[in-house]
Amino acid sequence: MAIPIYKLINIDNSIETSIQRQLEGHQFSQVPTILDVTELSDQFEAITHIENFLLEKEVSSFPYPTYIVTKIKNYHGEYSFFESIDKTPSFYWKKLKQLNARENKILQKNYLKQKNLENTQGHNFQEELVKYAKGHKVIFNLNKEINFLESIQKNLEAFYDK
Amino acid sequence: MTNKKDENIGFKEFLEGEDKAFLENPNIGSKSRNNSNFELETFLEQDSNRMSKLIETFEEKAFVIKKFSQFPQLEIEAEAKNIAARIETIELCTRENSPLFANIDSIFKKFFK
Repeated sequence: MAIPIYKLINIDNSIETSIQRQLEGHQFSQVPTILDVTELSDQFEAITHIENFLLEKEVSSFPYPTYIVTKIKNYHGEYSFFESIDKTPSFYWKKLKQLNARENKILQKNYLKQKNLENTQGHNFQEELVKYAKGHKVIFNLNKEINFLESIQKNLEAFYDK
Repeated sequence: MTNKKDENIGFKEFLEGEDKAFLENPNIGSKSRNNSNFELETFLEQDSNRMSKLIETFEEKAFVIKKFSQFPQLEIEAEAKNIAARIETIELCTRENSPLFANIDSIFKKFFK
């Protein structure tokens, strides 16, 4: 049961086996994780291998996210990308301290919630939400077209009534 | 009056901020650990709230969406409305004196004189 503060992993090589060795065993989704590839010469290759690894292991962004820090601009992928460590969300930047009894109690409660959330992942609710969002987009586009056609109709009717 | 002065002995320096020695020593027993502005506690509480909301979204809302999706009906309704609006617009556009025909007529006349 770890305090949910960032765990920073500096990726030291862009070779697939080396990345796998470095990431293997890390408890993704149980603590927020930052994977830093900014020091590498071939960042694109490293990101590709990291993404493949995370997708293969079905690493979810819930309850805790995984961020990749890279100097490549405008990269779009399955995970969240940042240009520098400073730009990652500040919420999880906290100093590690010894917990008092009260804080320990909250942490234990959070652990149970985390387990609860992990159990819901098995029902593929995330996929359902994506499907739901896509459906809304379809309905939005259809209604947008209807509004456009109605505005044309209104103008034409005003023209004929003259 | 003298009694009141006696009551303030020991507190006067503290109230006037003269005795700051206790501020300079961060390790005064267990009190210092508790006196951490509750930063970590607040953070853990916020994280707890965040997770409660995630559970609510995934367990309740996503379940309802999955089991009782309204999308197919809404899509059928929107498509029917869309088709009706298109037909009506075409009907208005294809009238003899419609501005569409007038504009096309003027463009053709301009280019094919």
